[in-house]
Amino acid sequence: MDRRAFLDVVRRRLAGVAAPDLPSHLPPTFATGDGRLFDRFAAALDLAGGEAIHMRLDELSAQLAVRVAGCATAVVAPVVDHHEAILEGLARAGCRLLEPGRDGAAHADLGVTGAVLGVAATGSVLLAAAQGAPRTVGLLPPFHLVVLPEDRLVPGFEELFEQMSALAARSSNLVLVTGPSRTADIEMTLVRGVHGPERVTVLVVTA
Amino acid sequence: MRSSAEPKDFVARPARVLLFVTCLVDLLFPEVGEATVLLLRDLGVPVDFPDAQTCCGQPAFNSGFTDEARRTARTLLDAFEGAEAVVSPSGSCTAMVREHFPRLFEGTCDEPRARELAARTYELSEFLVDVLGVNRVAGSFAARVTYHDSCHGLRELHLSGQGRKLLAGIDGLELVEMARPEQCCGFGGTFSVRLPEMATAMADDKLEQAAATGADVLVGGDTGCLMHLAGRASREGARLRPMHLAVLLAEARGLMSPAAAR
Amino acid sequence: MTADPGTFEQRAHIGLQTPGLAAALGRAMDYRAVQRAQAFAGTDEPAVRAAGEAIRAHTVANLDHYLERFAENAAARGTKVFFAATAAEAVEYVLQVLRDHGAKLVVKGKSMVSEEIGLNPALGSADVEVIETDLGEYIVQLADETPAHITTPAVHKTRGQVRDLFNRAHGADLSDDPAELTRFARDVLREKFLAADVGITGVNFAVAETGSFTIVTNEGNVRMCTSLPRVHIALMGMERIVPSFRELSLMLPLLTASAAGLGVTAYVTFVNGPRQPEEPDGPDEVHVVVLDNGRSAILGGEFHSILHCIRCGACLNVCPVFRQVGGHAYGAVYGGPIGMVLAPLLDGFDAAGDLPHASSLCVACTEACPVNIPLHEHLLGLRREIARSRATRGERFAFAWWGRLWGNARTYRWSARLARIGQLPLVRRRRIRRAPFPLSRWTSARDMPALARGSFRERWRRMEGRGP
Repeated sequence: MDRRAFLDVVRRRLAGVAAPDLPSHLPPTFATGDGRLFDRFAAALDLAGGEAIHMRLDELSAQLAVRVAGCATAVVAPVVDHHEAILEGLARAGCRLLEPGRDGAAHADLGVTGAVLGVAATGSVLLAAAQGAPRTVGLLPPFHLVVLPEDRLVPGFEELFEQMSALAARSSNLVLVTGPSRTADIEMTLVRGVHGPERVTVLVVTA
Repeated sequence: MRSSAEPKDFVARPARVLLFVTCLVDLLFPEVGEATVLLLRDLGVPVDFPDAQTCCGQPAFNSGFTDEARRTARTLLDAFEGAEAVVSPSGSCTAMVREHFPRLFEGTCDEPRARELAARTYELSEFLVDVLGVNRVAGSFAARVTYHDSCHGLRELHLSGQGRKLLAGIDGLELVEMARPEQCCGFGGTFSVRLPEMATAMADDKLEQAAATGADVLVGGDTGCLMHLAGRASREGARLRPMHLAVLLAEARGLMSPAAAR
Repeated sequence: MTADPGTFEQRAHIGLQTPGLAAALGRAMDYRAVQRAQAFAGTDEPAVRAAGEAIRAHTVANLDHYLERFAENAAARGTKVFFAATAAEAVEYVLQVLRDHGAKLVVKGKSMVSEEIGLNPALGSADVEVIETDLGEYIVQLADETPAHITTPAVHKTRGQVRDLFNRAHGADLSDDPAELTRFARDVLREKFLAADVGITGVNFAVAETGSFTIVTNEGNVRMCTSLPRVHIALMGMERIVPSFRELSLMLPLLTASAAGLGVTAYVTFVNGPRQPEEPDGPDEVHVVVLDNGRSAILGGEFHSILHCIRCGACLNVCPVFRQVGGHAYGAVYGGPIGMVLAPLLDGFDAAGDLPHASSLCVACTEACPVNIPLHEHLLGLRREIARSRATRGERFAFAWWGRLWGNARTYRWSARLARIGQLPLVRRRRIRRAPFPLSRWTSARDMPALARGSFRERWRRMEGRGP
């Protein structure tokens, strides 16, 4: 049915229906915490089955190398904060780089991306499709490593959603990622690692 | 979720209370009505029973027959006209009056009376605890007891533990909670005969929970639920004894002998 | 798609006779109850629910306005929005898109709307392979069944049953360990994701302000469906929309907390349009099918607020009837309390007229609904509609006479006396164990008490010293 006709039906049915106002104030849905944003972020991500580590920039490549030990191959998003330190760390770990496209990502043990921001209340990171940020890098490999500058942490959903329409204008796809993929579809038994990554680590870096 | 009528707060106890006995109690479980009267009088509250009342109309109302429901519900409006307070040993019948009478009589000349009655009708345990301020019932009843929260009392009247509070002080009574005391027993009025196999399965679920507590007695505030659970228990040979709160309290206080209670 | 033939009672009978079903459902529901309590702890739950209710009420009351804004803003981003008045229109649109792209393999995220329009059978008839990728939906697809629950489609299956399904379908030799079964499904479905031509998903909320829409999962299958194939088609019930991202900041956690006790799911995907020219991957085309299929007829009527539903499944998770038999007994796309109201309204009373009575009116659903839909009031309203237009002569007769006899105390007492006499042949030791229809429906499995020898009224007269 064409849009006009469809909406006319809706409009006619709604004639005379009282429309309450939108609430001017929205109550918080997460218990607001205090303390350092990183600490809240790490605690929440831990509950979701992921891991967050805090470090200075000069520690990044060494720390990264430790975390990815055992990964033979990796894909890295071409545009990512602290690109050099990341490549250095992967080299240290003896990790071979594959082309960051669908094929590479499908065969890599590890995918390294940045993130637009992190949400402390939930331990989430926001990924945005963009030039130099293929979606497959943080999706196909079983291990997803995120490098996030600390000043990109926001307290909660209120702050996240304040930025969303601007972010949505710039990107065809945004994903809020909170820990590894999981399911409880079989007898409500929690299993980690379904279609998305089964391990998520966020390296939160201060300058 | 607010009820459509909030009962008026009483600063002091009402001078006189009228008993809304309910058709189930009147015809099948008169000892519950008797126990209710004895308990109220024991607390010094004069009780009267206006016998123009028949039934709150819930069976017809829940089946969508509102005209027929109004016919019997009107007998309550007549019987309780001008009452200071009305007390009933049934959560679901009280909820029918409080929650549904105003809308049932909306637009009729009985609407003002319906609203007035809705504001003055109490379920027994909430009346004892919230209006009369009973903190403790002195008495003895040696048994392990588990509590069943009937749905309408819980979710429409927002009863919140008054029944358990009344049991707490009784000597020899051990209260053990079943796994899901708030889960529906499957009576639901006409539901129990529209979908008997389902209703029975739901009864079995509750009886299993009760059995797991090792309780001798299952106590509740609604005779519909108790009749349904007792009927299944007796058919299955279970030794659990469903009992109305009023009868248990009356026995515990020595106001009623166990023989008269049956 | 209309409801199954047969009655609720008949289908429930099958469920009640299925060993292990009630136990599986009970375990799942108890788990959900714990999760939900945890998720709302530390929030002002009544305030959050009131805000959710207000947002839904405002939005649905202005639905044409928000759908129009959504369509304009989505189109500006390159998303193609199709308004489908009926299920048939929606199916035809999807088939046309598939034809246009020569698509042969579709990967699908969970979508109750797709069940409503009968999409999978239509795709099958058009020779398109469609693979359900949500693990619960995949299990249900292998079993050739429909989902048993809005958010947990395979809630009725044991691990042994899943193992058997997988082994049979793939000639494998798996154990019943959920982790092993899940890993197996991951590998099987990974191949399909990478090869698929088209991804089809549902929509949790559309966002009018930007023409975006959002989908929540824990598994990652929707990320796959919305990123890997060239074409993404999203199916949306027309009422599933919020004005802006601000409202989403409350509605999303309200949805996931009510559905699964989570503040946030593992993945929240926001689709803003097809890939932009500088982006290295993503679908070239994004389509949104906005479905009416009977919803507009509910707008502005007695049951209007049922369209506030956000499909969280919280009402199913507390329903004592659902607990015994699961979703299939309802014989409609939506089961449980939401289904008992929606199915008669969407599918008609011929198909689903017995559903509003499949409830003991315990009110647990209304108590659980995060946007405060008065579900039990709607059930009563539907029962009134049924009494007006579809009651059997017997029932009408019975209640009419009941109303007359019990409309005053004298005939009430009189009928009780008659019944007390009439019951005599049936009474054994103050119980009735067998009775004729309709009381046989009670006595088939339960004893009945006999009418008391002395009614309360008679005891009262004695107590007042006025009688024998």
